Amino acid sequence: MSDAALPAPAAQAPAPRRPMRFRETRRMAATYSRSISAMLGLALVVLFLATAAFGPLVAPFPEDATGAVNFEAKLLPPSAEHLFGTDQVGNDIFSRVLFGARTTLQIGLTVTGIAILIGVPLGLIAGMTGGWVAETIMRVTDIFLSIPGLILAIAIVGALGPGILNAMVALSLVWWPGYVRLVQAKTLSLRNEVYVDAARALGAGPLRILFVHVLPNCLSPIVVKASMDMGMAILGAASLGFLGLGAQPPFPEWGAMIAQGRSYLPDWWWCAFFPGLAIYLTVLGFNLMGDGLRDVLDPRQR
Amino acid sequence: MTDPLLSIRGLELAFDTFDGPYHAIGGVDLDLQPGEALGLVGETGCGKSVLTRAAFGLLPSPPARIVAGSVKLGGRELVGLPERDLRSIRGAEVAMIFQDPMTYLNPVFRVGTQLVDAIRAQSKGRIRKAEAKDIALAMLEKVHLPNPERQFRAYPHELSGGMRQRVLIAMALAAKPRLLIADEPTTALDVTIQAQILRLMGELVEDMGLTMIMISHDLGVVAQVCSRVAVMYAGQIVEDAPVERIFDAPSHPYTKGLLKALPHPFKPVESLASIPGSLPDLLHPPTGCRFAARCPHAGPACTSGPVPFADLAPGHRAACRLHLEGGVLGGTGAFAETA
Amino acid sequence: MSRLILKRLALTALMLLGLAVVTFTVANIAPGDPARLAAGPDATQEMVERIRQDRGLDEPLPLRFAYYVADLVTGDLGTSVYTGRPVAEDMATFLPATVELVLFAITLAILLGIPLGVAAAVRQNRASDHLIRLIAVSGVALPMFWLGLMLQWYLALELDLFPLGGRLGVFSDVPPTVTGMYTLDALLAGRLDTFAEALSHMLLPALALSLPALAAIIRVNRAEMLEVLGRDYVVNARAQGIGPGRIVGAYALKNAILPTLAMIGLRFGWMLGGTVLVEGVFDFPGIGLYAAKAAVSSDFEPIMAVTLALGAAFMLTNLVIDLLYAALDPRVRAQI
Repeated sequence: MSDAALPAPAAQAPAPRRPMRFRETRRMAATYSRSISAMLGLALVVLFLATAAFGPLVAPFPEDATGAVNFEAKLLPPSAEHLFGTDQVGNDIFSRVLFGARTTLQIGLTVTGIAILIGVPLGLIAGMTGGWVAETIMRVTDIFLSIPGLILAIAIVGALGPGILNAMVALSLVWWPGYVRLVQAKTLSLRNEVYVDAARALGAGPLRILFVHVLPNCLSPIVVKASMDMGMAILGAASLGFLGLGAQPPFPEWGAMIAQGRSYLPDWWWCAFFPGLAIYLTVLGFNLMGDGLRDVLDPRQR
Repeated sequence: MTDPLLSIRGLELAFDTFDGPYHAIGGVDLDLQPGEALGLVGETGCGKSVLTRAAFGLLPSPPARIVAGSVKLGGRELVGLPERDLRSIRGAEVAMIFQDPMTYLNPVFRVGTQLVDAIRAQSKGRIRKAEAKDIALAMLEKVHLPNPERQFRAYPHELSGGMRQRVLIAMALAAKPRLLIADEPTTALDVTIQAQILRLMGELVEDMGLTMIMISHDLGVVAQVCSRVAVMYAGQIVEDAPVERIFDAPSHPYTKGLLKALPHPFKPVESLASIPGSLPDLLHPPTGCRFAARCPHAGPACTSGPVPFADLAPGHRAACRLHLEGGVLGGTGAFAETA
Repeated sequence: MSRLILKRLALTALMLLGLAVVTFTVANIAPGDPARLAAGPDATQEMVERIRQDRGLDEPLPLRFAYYVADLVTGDLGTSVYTGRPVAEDMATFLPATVELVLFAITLAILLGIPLGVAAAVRQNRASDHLIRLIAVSGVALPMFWLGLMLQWYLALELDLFPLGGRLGVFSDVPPTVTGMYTLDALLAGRLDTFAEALSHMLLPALALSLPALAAIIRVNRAEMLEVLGRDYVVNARAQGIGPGRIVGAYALKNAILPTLAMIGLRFGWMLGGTVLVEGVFDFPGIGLYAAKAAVSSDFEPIMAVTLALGAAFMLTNLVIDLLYAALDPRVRAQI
């Protein structure tokens, strides 16, 4: 018997493996990029962000976004000079749409941001503690969630008075309960995971469990929801603007622009059409991106 | 020797994954005679469930793909058969019972409804609902369920694990199939219930003259019910023998390792024996014997090409060059043994 | 099952009280003097003081809340500055129109959404699946009011296929009032032409309202069907030889419909809120339009009344959905 210490290795050399570092991230990126819709969403979102950032610098008629009037040029159809045409006071709609992107982004980010800042901690508390604290939080959340969001927002704006700031406050108040419910449910299910029990058995206190085990696992549903919410918040803001409760004219907010343009259908259709198209494409982008993120981060979650 | 009921030749199956094809089944030859009870054993992931499901078109395809080979049931080729024909075979000629009776029963339908659906499907619509109900009740009695009427109206979550498994057995056998495939039927059950279910299965197999394949990772279970055992490793059959010979005269190094790893109930040991190494990566399957990397007796011939079966005794074959060339080929034994 | 109903009814009653708390709170966060706000912009100081006394606006908050609830229960919803009439009266006039419209819209969304979702799941990754998913994804992103305007512009103004707005033609007679819903009343009175007319007036606004919901329902149903079709009991059903029709239509669908129900409930809420937008576009005289006009003129009482009405409607819908859940899933029934 020969004395080979180890069993004979396989004769065939193993195929080259991808390096292990960041493999998970790269796999996620690869999965994301394989989806046409997710990439389209990403493209739209990037386009939106770029417009918000650089639009005002590129706009051909920046003064039109802040109330300049030019009756000579009123209600001109789309052309090379005025890509989206002009409105009833002669403003270039393309420029106004570009400026409006910035407002829209501000509103979306603020509303989603505040909603997360209020909702996530409350959800964590409700999930981690029990008893009447959690009960109260959840009951209040349930009541808020039982009121159709837009109506509640209108009621709040109706009470506070029209204006962009009040619209943002109203929308934030409508949005935070959604995060409470999401985080609370996730926290509750995570608390019962075996690894949390294991951590506790090893002496981990509740704060450590919260930050090391619970919070990181909540992040992916929060990220997915935030992405979808950006789209919905933008719709909400545009809706309030359409009703005249958000940004006031001559502010170039997309919803308000549609309301203005409404009177000029059908002959001067471009006044109402292009701002709406902008809203649609932006919301579509966030929705597609949210879908893509969800498929990548948590394929079993719907 | 009569014609085998089930005849598998050279079956190869792969799953198309993100990282490439995963060669789950790497060439399987297997014959099953009518009336035999074959135990298909192997560790988790060796492909025993995949093999039986693939044979009858139960794997989602994509990503599963039969690369090569043939599966004949009673002489009829199944590979390449359209879904509609496969469906008429399933349930009526080949029945399957599965591991976890909770997840394999639809939670929102009553047990009776599911039984009646199965019976009517297996009769190709010729049996009416009322008649199917009678058959269902009779089957529930046959599997020794107390108060069959009550179980008929119950929902799956209202029954205990053992009772649910009996329901699945009733469902499978209602159409008096030729072949029964039991995929780890007792793994999810308590040991006492396990014994009951195994006894029931043994009874029914004999009573109905069934041919059976019992899949399990538990050699003890297989020993109770089966007349023949096939051992699988990494998608291939490595040894195939009557049940006594597997325990008395295991020949393939993997089988020997498996049996050595079973702790003896009465002899305490310092540490449990295990087989060193781990399963090969089936994305890039090794040529030749897939066990070679972990085998104490492996030699260069083992990895150069496919390993043919060596006939050790009537009905006993092992895919190992050790027994072909008769002699130790090299390597020191982690398992001291005589050639 | 009846225990479940009672429990949920009690819970809903409590939630309605909570709703009243919310509306009361919102009503009182308005900056400025509430008495002056209620009196309107043209009131004299005397009138403002009178109103302050009448309404008990100088009383402590909990007492005022008690008065508020008492008012609600007796049907006193205040007076609209805009119309000059009691809000309760306005609500009674406008509510049936909205009920009719919303019911029509949600029916459309469900009757189209579920089959399309199933179809897309069964034909996964084929051309029809991609097409359906395209519609579904776009639908959720469309602003309801813009969609309404586009529909109005193209189908009504350009192609003249549908009327521009309102509930009936200007010269048509309203059918004898039974429910206030013109389609139903017309059918009851046997006036099929009025029925058709009312229906055609509702179609465009209902489409605008329902498209986002339809899209969401398709997506959820498709996703749930795909998930369910991969489950073990479907494998077992296939192993037993059960046919694809029964597997998809019964075994899978009954399981997939449960989360879809939840989505239907959620989208119904958005639809209720959406009436404010869509009724405005189509001049449809429902409570949505009422609230929109009130909001712009800071007319308070109507907004609160509409909020209460829509909130209560939504809570009721959720109750119904919870009950449906219990009816469909025996495990839920077992938990009570």
